[in-house]
Amino acid sequence: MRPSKLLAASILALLWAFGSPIHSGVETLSSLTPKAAALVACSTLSTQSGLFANRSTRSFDDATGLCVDGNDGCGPVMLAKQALPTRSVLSIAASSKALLQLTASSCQHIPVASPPEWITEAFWLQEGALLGMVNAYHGEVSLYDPSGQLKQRITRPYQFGARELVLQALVPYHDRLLAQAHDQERSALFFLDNQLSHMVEAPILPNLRTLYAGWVVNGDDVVGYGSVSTADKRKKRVNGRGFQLGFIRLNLPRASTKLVVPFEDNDYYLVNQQYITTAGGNVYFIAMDTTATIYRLSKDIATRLNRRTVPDEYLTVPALNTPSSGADKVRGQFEELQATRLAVGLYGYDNFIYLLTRNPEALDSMWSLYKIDPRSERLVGRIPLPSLAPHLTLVPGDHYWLAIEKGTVEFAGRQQIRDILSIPTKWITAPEASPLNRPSDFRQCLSNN
Amino acid sequence: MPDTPQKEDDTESLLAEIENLKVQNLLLEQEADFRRRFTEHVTDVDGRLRAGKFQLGLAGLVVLCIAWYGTYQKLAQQLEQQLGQRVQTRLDQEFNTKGIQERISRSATDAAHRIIQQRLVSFGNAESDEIKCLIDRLGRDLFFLQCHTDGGDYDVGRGACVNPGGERFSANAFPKINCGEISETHTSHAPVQATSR
Repeated sequence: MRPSKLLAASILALLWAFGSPIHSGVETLSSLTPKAAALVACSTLSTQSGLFANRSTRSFDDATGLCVDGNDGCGPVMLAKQALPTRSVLSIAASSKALLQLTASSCQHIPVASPPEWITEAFWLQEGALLGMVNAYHGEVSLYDPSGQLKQRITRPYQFGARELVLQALVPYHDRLLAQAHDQERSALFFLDNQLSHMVEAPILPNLRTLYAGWVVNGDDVVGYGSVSTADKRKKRVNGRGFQLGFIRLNLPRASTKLVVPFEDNDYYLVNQQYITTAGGNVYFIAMDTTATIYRLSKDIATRLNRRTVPDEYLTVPALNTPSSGADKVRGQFEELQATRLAVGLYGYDNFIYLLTRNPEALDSMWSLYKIDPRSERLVGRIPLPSLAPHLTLVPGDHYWLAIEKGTVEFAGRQQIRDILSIPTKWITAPEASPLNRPSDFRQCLSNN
Repeated sequence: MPDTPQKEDDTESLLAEIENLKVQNLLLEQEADFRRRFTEHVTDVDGRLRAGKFQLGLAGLVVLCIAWYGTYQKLAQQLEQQLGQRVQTRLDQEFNTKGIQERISRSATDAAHRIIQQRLVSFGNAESDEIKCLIDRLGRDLFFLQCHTDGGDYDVGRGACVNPGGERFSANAFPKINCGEISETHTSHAPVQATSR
């Protein structure tokens, strides 16, 4: 254990021993319902041990109402079995946030308790405090605190009138969430409040046929890869199917659909990789053709960025050879991806975009993030990521960037998720000064695994 | 009485007989030669005839096969087409529209799952888990197959069939039985109440 961690742990242990309130979160316990208060207490205890011992020792069992795994002499906390008040989600977040800041100066591999089997979307429900993960295969939403403790998991379908809706994606939209959900008949967009309980149908978007996974929100717009109906009869005759694939922009208040860049090659948008992002009020996406090209979408105008924005070794996009012809075949497809040098994601933060790349043959790090300045259209620098995971999902944040470390894909909808790698944001945003570019710090982060 | 002319006559007679014999011998030789040659010729002709017959037979067989193949296949195809048309006609009569077919298929799947779910109650947890996972896997494979048959692509990210052929959108409709769900002890089973606008 590093001296700084040891010192912090000792201070906390002293506070605990002398009966002081654990954290400011506890001060608010009296104002909460018994269950919410106990949940916060449980969360605080588990966060405390999770952060400093780098492993979780406590978790809240929602079904039984118990704070379980009390192996440090505290014993389980019995709670009232009543419905969780909606505000408790944010209360948990508030208590966790204070703890998180204590370790904002180092990277950590945080084990994920009771992990989901698949991640379609991951996002901060509350920045730096509550992480949401959506598993579209089971229509479930899991909420985690930054110490990797499961806070809430919703697995039941949403009842929307007579319809039973299964969640497929969830993305923050203004002060609420925008969900993509489907029933037996069709898929559509819905607004969902931050408590994940109140659902309202979003306007029906004309001509929208399909919206693939990985869409993003930019102001009132949704931008993603998908298909729109083609009204042009001549075109319809040519391709015989009545729709056009490409990057599409949906404006929810105006209920409009627009195909901004027709793009037929859909292979890489079907494999759960994030190629669309927002930064500085614009949307950016990578067109994965035979070469990887970054586009900026400002209103309805898509502009191709200079080729120099993509590192030379990731310009060429190999064709995917493994056919996707069954749930089990997906494994082979992802094994092929694992062995391929490729740009696998695009993430936005502040006014910059970050290209996530995988190079299986690289000597220093298989995973790298390239910081790109889209205004000057140049590469700023490279940050090696200290992860050995076969697959990664990144969640940018003001204090931390999280890299959710995912295992090999067993079949469609199943891969092992063990750890979350948290990296201080300043280590990412300033590549030239990043400790990750120093071999000793990089090794230290990697060995924390 | 002198005997000289008698001797001369005898000699001539003998010489004539010798000549005659020579001629006969020649004839016999010629005949033998002819027979030999004829036999050779017959053998040769026979051989040729046999070879010819074989080749002819082979060619015949080939022709016969082609003819059989052509007629049989055509007939089989015709029969198949006729049968297919009859089956399709019958199906159309039975299940009027594609929508109804889909609904029937879905209802059948649902019913099968209900039955399986009911039966699963009597199993132990381990067997139940295994069977549920198997159903899950089979459901996914079936969905994949259906998606590809419809001319669509499988979006691995959200487990949905996208861009199927024709004008319809096919959402991910395979049964949502979760292998992990059963063993999850931290899963919240509180029902989610959503309200419509």
